[in-house]
Amino acid sequence: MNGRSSGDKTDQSRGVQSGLLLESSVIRLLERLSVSAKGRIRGTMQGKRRSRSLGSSLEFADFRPYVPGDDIRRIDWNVYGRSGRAFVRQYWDEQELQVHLMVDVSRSMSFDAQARNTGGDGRHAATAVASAGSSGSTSKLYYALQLAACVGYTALAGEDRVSARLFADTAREELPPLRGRGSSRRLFQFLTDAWTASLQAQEGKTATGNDDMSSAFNSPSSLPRRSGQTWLFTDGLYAEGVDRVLSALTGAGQEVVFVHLLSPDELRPDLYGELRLIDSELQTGKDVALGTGVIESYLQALDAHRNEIRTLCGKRGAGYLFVDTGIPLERTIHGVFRASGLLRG
Amino acid sequence: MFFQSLGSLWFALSLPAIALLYMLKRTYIDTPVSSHLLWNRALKEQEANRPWQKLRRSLLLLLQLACALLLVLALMEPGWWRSAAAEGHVVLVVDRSASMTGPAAGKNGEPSGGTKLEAAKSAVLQWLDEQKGDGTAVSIIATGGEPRIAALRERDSSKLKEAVRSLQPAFGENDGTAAVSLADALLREDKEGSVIVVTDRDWTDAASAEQLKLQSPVTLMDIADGGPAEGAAVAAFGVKRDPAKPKTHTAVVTLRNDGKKPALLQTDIYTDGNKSPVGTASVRVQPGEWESVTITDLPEASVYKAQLTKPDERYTADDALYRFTASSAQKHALLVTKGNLFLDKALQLAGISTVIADPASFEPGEKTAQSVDWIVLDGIQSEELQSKAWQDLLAAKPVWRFESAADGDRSRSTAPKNGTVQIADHPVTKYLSFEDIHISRLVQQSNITWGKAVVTYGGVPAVYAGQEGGKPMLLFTFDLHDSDLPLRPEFPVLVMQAADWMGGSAKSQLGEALSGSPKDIDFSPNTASASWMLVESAPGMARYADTMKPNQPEASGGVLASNQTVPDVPGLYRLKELDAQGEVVAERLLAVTADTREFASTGESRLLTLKQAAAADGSSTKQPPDGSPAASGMDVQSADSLIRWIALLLLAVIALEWGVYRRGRAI
Repeated sequence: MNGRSSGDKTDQSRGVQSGLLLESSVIRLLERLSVSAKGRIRGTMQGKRRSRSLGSSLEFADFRPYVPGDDIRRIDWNVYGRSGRAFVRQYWDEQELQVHLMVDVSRSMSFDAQARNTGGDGRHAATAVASAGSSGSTSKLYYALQLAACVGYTALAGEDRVSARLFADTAREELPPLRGRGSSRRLFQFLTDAWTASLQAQEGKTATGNDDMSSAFNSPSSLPRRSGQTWLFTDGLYAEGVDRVLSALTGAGQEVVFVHLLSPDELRPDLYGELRLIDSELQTGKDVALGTGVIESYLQALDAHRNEIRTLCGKRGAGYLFVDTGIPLERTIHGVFRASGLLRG
Repeated sequence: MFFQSLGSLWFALSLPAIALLYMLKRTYIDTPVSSHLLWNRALKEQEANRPWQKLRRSLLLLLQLACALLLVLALMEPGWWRSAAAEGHVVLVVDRSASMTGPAAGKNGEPSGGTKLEAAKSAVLQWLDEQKGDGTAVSIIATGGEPRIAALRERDSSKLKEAVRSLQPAFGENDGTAAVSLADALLREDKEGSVIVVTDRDWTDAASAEQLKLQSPVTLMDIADGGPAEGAAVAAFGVKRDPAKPKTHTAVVTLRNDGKKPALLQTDIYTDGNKSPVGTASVRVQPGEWESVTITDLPEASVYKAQLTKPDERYTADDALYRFTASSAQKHALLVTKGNLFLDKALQLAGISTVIADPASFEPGEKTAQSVDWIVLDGIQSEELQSKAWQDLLAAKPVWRFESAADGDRSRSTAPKNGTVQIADHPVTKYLSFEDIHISRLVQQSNITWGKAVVTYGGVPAVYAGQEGGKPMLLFTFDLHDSDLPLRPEFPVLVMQAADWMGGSAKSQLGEALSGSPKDIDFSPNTASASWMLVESAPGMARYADTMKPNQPEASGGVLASNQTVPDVPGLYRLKELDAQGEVVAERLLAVTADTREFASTGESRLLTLKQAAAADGSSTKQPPDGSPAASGMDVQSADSLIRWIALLLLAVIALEWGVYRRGRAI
């Protein structure tokens, strides 16, 4: 138990403890959705998805002249009756989709505006609480884990295979592939554990995270072994490496969806005065006299950063979803995920 | 702008001190952010790596610096030089007294060739060009016998310049005090206003001008005198008949040396406009002294002129004086009386030669009418003059009648109830008061249509005067024997004025008058119009005589007023009187002189130094503070303290600072 007094935080913690990462209303919503993939899937096990290979589904693909050895049950007797020649009906194979959920657990993700009251004066703390209360903001990590749970649950419900992995400066825990709606509990548990671990890490002030995103994806083991769809949940606050990560994942046969999360504090910073800005990951300080001019240039830099990542995704054929963690989860699923077509139903 | 306390500039060291405090300040509030990534990009130029870069965007610091700067400024007691004449209403008093016709000094002190008045005019024009603000109302007052307003609250520069250019010197008496007083009065209603007196500071009434309690700031625009110290004048001139030699005259000329050194002054005497002098004399005169010299054996003439042989370089208007001899044209009066020695003597004193006639023994003939100009009937009853010769004579000549009731006819005569005297304004009664005069009985008149009662004694008309058929008529309604009037000292004056009224006295010329002054002139009864003609202008005055044509005699209601203004430019004038038919009735000469006091040597006591009366509260005085440029010439400026504005600004900055402090501390 983290012992914080904030009601918001307590709710979150209680939800995590009781395994209620997602509320039941959200789960009911997710049951109507399915994860869509752009290309045809090559899986190993029978699934609900049309595979790139021909197989034994009910969906007709083509006719083929009968050659000895074919299963005579597949001969189309109607055609044989009309033409006298034996043709075999071919059907598309239906295979499962491999969905990889990759959640950034670096320090910047778990950074929370409310944590500022450790260093800020009363005024700042007050505004932070007020803004958090009004917009219902939570930490980006919690939001990312919730989103990952949504996507994972949708995939599991759609009889797709789901694996999950955490990464920070290096690749962290991994959840082996799961299948079937019954496995959703294991997925939720994994994600809840990740949140608890992050809270403990925060209290321990152990800095995790660095400026290079690709450092977590350098080892081949950190990349998915099977082709499929990879969802990257990150705040994208990396000076470099985003391009390399996208490249590596695409190269591993992944259809990448880049979910870019930023908190309201980052999108609309409410800072004034002479401040020493402390990087949550590197713990370095920066003396700044903040005014409207500085805020404006910050917003410009933010826009440039978002555009940069979107452009990289476009180049690599990856999907790009931008999420403001100040917006409630259900609205994000509707307004961002369904609108983009990556979740259907 | 100026600073009264420049030493306070040391306090400006507080400015770098405040900046230093900000540099040393290290109270940045720790604020964790998720990542520096975006901030780094935004803050490339914001990073406060170097001390002074911390200062760059701190509004609070800038405000504090502004506060300190304003305090330092206030300590320095700044003020604003404001041209005293740049605003409000400016009254220019232009001295145009006779002394302004003297030579003006140029830039290097040498004579510039122009007169001081010309220099004054150009100085005023320059002031109008350079110092008059667009909204400045300017009034121009020219000095003179009475101050003349040449322009009143005029804002149009061209009209003002025209008014300045048309100013001409006034040679008569100059009442500068009145002009300055009028200027001050014009400014009484104005908050912003000042008087500028353009003058050579040589005022005859300087002492009384100094007594003025002026409420407005006064500036003297000094016109430097460029004339030499040496000056001379014909101070007095008299001509009289030489009793020893008939047909010759003797002149006495008084010469004055206005210079600083003894000088040999020479004077010439001219007669009747002749170009060559008829006599000359010279005398050595000590500086500031007067000397008289007598010139004898002058031929007989009507006009004499005494003029300095060598023209004065300083003032020329006083270099000549004119004198007229008494007229030789004797008037003759027929005094019809039974014996009245007082009247006879009085008439003779008035220059009238009398022919005494007793009606009982005298019968006028042809010659009588020719030799007599007018008739005095002294208590003669009309019954005694019933003959045709008398009637013709009385009808043809002006008649002065003394009425006397016959012994038997008591009904017409009346005793006055009291001794009150009422005098109407008339040439006959001029200068007379009839005080303490007793008249025992008066003859009441009826149907007097030709004139009006000019003297009333005890409610009864005593003297009638008027004209009948173009002839002057006079009627005294009492017998001189019934009155003590002949014993009074006024009697000869009365008789002389009566004789003048009846048809001329010994006086034939108009004499001498001060330029521009009013003069009583007795026009002949027949005169319908009159005009001034310049015979000769005083030395050096020809330039003014060309531009300043004499005002022609004023007429009121078709009748020439007896009080006329004499021409302005010194010189000799002829007054020509014409009757209704255009015939010349009379021609008389008038010598117009300038005010000689203007030309007397300048003593320090005559130099004008006007000052504004100290204001009661002391705050509204607009004189420059000590140590500032002297209030002379055109450089005068007045100072406005700026401390009030600075205090206001300081409060505004402090209010702003409070606002900034509450909102946040950076721009």
